[in-house]
Formats: sequence, C-alpha cells, structure tokens
Amino acid sequence: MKKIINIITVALFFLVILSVFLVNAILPDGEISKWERRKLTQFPELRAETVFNGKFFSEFQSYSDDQFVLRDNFRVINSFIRRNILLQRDVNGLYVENGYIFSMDEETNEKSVNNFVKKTNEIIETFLNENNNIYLSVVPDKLHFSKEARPKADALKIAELYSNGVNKAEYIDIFPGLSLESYYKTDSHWSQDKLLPVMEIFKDKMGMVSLPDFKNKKTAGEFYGVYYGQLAADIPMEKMYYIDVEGIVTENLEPKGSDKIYDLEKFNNLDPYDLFMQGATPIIKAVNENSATDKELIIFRDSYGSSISPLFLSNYRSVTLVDLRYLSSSLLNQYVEFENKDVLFLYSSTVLNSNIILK
Amino acid sequence: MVFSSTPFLYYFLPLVCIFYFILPRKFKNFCLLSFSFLFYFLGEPRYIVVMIISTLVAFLFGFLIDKAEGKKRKLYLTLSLVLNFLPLLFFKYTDFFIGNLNALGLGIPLLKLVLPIGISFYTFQLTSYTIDLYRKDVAVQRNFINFACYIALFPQLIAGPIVRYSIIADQLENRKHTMEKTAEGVFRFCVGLLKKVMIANVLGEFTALAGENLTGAIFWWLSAIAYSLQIYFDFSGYSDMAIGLGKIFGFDFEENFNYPFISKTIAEFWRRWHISLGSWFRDYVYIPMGGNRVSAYRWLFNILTVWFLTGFWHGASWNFILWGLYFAFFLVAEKLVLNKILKKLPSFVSHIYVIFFIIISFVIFKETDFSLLFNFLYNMVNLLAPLSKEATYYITSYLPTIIIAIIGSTPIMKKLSAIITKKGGEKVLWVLKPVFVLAVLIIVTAFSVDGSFNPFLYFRF
Repeated sequence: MKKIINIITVALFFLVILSVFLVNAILPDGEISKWERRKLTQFPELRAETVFNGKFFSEFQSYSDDQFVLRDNFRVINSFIRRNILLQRDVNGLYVENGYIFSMDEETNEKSVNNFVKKTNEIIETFLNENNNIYLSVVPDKLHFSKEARPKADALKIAELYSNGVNKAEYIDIFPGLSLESYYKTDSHWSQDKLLPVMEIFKDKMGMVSLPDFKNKKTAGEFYGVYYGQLAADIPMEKMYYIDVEGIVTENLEPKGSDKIYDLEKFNNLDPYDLFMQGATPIIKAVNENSATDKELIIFRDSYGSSISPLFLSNYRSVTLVDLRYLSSSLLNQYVEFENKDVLFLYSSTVLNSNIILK
Repeated sequence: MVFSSTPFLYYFLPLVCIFYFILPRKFKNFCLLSFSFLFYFLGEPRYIVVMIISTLVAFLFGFLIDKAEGKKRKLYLTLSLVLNFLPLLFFKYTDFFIGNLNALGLGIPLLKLVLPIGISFYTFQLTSYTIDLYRKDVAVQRNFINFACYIALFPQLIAGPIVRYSIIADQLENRKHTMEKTAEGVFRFCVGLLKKVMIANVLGEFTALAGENLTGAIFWWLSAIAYSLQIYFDFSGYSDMAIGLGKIFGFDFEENFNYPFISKTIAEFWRRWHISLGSWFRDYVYIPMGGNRVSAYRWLFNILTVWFLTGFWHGASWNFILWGLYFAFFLVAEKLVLNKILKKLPSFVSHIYVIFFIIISFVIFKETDFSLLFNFLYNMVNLLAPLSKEATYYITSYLPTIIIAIIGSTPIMKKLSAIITKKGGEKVLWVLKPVFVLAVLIIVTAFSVDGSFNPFLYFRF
C-alpha cells in the first residue's frame, strides 16, 4: 500500500504542476479583471535589454499571477482560508459584517480635510455671493455604520472639521437619514433607492417643495461592487436600482457627450455605478422642464453625488454637477453661471480623508 | 525566484522536471546546472558572471591544491580562499566599511552595490570544498559540470542549507532515484511551501505593522514573538523546500533545523537552528582556532571571533554584529555559570529563559537602525502605554496564526504522528499524504496569485 500511496503522491504533484503549466500556456490571456476592476498584466516585452536589466522577469511574475488559470477562484480560496481558518478579521483591509463588505480606512486625516476646507472657501470667495444659498454636507463612509471595533477614520469628526472650516455655508447633517441599509452590500456607495430620508432632510433644510416618487423604482440589473472583487468573498450579487424621473435631459458639458441621467449601457462598465449621471465626469448638467420650481442647483461632488443628484430634479429645474478632481476650478466660469443659484458642497468622508487634491 | 511563486511552481519546476527525468543519467547534472544558471540568471542577470568566475577559480585552484604539497599547498589554499572571499567582501561589506569611515569624518561616496543573491551561501560552499580538499578529506573534482552543479544547485543556492562538498561529492555522480525518495521529496517540499506561505508570510504582515500608532507592551511583545516565528517558518520552510527538491533530484541534504524553540539552553538552540551554518563555523573557524582546548582567554577570544563572524555573515550592519556577540555572551555565561544553575531548576524555567532571550535576540536581528531597535525594546517594557484600539484589532486578527505557528514550531505534530502510527493508524497517515500535497498546492497557489505578502528575507545573506 505504501508503494501505491507514494506513486499517487508523486503522480498527483506532477500532474498538477504540469497540467497547470500546459493550461496556462494554451489558454488565451485576459485583458481585464472585471472583479478587480483593473487591466491584467500582459506578457512582457522580450528584448535583450529587458532580460538583462531584470525587467522582463519582474513583469513576468506579475503576468504569471494575473493570467493564472482560475485566478478568481483561487482568490476566493485565499480569502476563505484567511477568514475561516486563520480567523483573520480582514483580507486586504476588507471584512464582512452582517453580509456587508467594509473597507478599513486610515486614521482621520486632518490635513486632507483642511485642504478641502481651503479649496471650498476659495471657491466661495471667488464665485459666490450673498445671492447664493450655500450648503455643505458630508456623506459618511459605510464604515461609520460598522459596529465592530476596527481602525477607522472618524466620519463625524471629518464632517465637523469640514463644516466648521467653511463658515459661509450652511451645514446640513444627513447622518440621521442614513443607516447601513442605505449602502450597497458589496460596494462603497450608497444606494439611490434608499435615499428618501436623506432627501427629506435636504428638502427641509434647502426649502425644496418636491421630491421624486420613490415608488418609481426600476432595476438596472445585478452587479458586484468594488469591494467584492478586492475581498474575493463568496457573497451573492445584488441589484442596482434607480428612481425614474421622467422628462429630464442632460448635457455633458465637459467632455461633451451623452444625454442620459441613467445610462443603462454604462451599467456594464467596469464600474456599474457609472449608470448614474455618466459616472466620473468633470462637469455635467441635467435639466427638468417639469420641475416644481425654476431654481437651479450646482453640486460640487465626488462619486456619491452621481446617484443623489437626479433626486433633486423634481424640485430644481437644473442640477449641475462639478467634480474638481477632474476639472480645474480656474475654468469654472467657462461652464457655470453661479448667480442666484443654490450651491451644495457634497463630499464623502472617504474622499475628504483621502489626501486627494482638488484642482 | 521564490519557490512559492507561480513562475517557479508552474513554469520553472515543470520544465526542469520534464528535462531532468527524460534525459539519460549522464546528462542529468548538465540539465540541473543549466536550469540552476537559468534560475540564478532570472533573479540576478548581471551577477551570474560573479558566481561562474568564483566557481571556476575554486575549481582550478582545486587542481593546484591537489597536486601541491607543503608550503605550496598552503599558498594555493590561501590564494583560493582570498579570491573566493573577495566578491563577498566587496559586494556585501564595502558600503558598511565606507559608512563607518564616513562616521569618523571622511566623505567617501557609498558604492550602493546590489548584493548578489546567495553569495554568502555559495561562498561558504566553495570554501568548504577548498578546505576539505586541502585537508585531504575529499578528492579533487575533475568534472567542471559536476562541480558547478554542486555550487549552483538551485534548490539550495539562494537560502541554503549550506551543503558541504564532502556530503554531496559521491551523490553528484552516483545517486539513486526511487519512487519512495521522490514522494518523500514532494511531501517535504509541500511542508516547506505551507510553512512559508501560510504561516511565515502571514506573520510577516503582522510584524510589518509595528509603528507609531500601535501602542501597548502586549502588542510589541506579540510582534517580537511573531517575528521570531516568522524567521523560523520562513527559513526552515525554505530549508524544507530545498531538502525536498533535493530528494526529487536524488540528493540527500543534511537537516538544517530541529525544533529550536524547544531548547533549554542557548547552546542547544544553536545546535537546532541553522545547523549547517553553525557546523560550518565550528569546523572551519572555531576548531582550526583551537576550539575549547586552549587557555580560558584564548577560548573566550575564539568564541567572540566566531560569533562576531556569525553575526556579520547575516548582514553588513552593526545590529547583526551585536546579535552575534549577544549569543557569544550567553554561550560563555552558560558554560561558566548558567548551566549549573539551570540544571537545578525545573525544565520549564530553562525553557522560558531560552525563549525570552531568543525573542529579544530577534528584535536585535530585525532592526538595523539602532533608534528603531531601542524604540522597539522600549515599547516592549513600557507597561504604562495603553493598548491602542488599532493594536487590539490587529492582535485579535493575527493571534490565531501566531498560536498555529507556536504549535507548529514544536514537535507536537511529529509526536502525534508517532502515536497514530503506534496505534496502527499508519495507513491513515499514508492516505493523507497525497491529500495534503494537493491541498498545499491549492492553498499556496491561492495565496500567491492574490499577490500576497511574499518577502524575500535572504537578500542580505
């Protein structure tokens, strides 16, 4: 029996390494990883120079890992072992609590928040006056609602630092309108169809008279959020909903382009969240000729602003979204007329804390 | 190329095995040599020349030493050793000496040389051949392929064990390949893979966290314990892989680790830790200097020299020298005083004594910067610092791995296996072998493709 076991052991070992070698060599290379939302490393350039300076083999290592057969399945196994055998509380900084995936954050970064304060005040001083209603709000990171004791930035402190620093804007506290259920399970973002309590706070504080009917909820389809691919956990897909608001046209100001507030084709992008207001875009304007008022709103925002902005359109005739991560504030006058308009600075605590510099 | 990486496991190893087992016996060493050179070239494209020249020099001097007698023989030995150690001294220690001269006020620019991988290991192997030949303990090797194969053999090239020529000389020409030996090699290789990837690398993630915002003496103690275990699992895992690969290709390397953390004295620890290095220094430095059959002062000098060199071999930095001399202190203290006291005490006290001072030794080993070293030690004794929220989190996240590592560092599994065998369960263990091999391949692949933490700890050796 020992002889047979020895043969099986050796045969199994060589069968695995040889068959994987052959399968990896035969299978065509992938271009992108939809799970991880990134391009996969391609076979490195084979030249004498790259071979002798070590670059070829260094890139080959990344190529070998990226193009490995059943890579996504192996990543799930890795995540499973770490969480269930080694009992690690996070994998790559991500963890699951009550079916929701969270990404651990750095500590509260006051310097980063102060940069946002400085830029926001600069915009107010440069473009706005007493005829503008100026509001400011902070979207807490999903981590704020995690009950487990983990290292995380203090979203309340970030909101306090930001609102106290910008004293010409009225702070609208939307924290009470949010709960863990307001967010997607596998993504960092909030889910548009769960934002009625937040919109009611905005309505009350901004003097709005109308909100969209949240019963007009439609499904874009099932998706996995950004955290899913990073954690590689075995969690079911979830649905992405949007609140339909009829009669709205949009104008993508920079870059020029699509006219849809909900672009279902973009739901199939690497980031399905691009469904809302064309995703990451420097400046986009949506107009509703059937709005309850003639008032217009400008939102300085990050990605969280994409999904909430259509919800302002039953009240406001137009909503202009400005993303200063992609557009320099010195160019604002070319695209936006600020006079008599309401202005909302809406940033997530994640972005406020992330050392991103607004242009 | 790390053995646990996908390029090694699923490109290099299948290719080398295909060629090795297809080719007839007389070409097998050539095959191993070619792939060993390729292995080295992929990691160090430029420095392979250094290794080939060093090998060639030692090979040629081998003939001269073999034929010469008397003073000439000694002269050739000296020349060979000088030429052998020159690259090691140049690449590894030049900047260390320049740095120290600069500290005295000189302004010599550093060379910032990259250390050729494995140079400390293959230099010692070349030395063992040259000295053994001089002592007439081995016959001269007349076949360059065989000789170069011994030096460059990829399983042990970059992280040991340091294989003596006397052990491998006969195997280079006459070695047996049996299914039992290959199966043993596969199993041993997988044990090493698991130790490296699932334990050492994960502990490495924890030890890399030690920073300013993580306060609390418990955290720093656990970090030191985890680092000691990380080094053990990494190094012994690599030795297991080397021994396993050696068996697959028909070689029998000597054991390099033997449960060092169960030792009851520091001297015993070093008989169980990196055995091939300890025995190298004993046979080629300590004993030629007179060993312990000399006056007390000379013996003290011998001990200090050997441990100074042992520390310095591990890295060109003062902390490694301190680390070596730290052990010299305990070895002398044990011989003169401590052994007598420890023998009178319960064995668990001896055990705690060893573990405590070994953990401290690895803190010295870890921190090349003295300010970081003192900071680490200060944090370990600063009982007033509260355990921070972050530190608590990371402790709870990594404690299970630390516990698994502690259990794995003892012979518990070995004893359990012996008990099962004794009670007639040997067949169950046999059946579990292939299951274990398959499971390890899946686990290691899963950890590797996810780009997990995979440090290469031997860059400075």
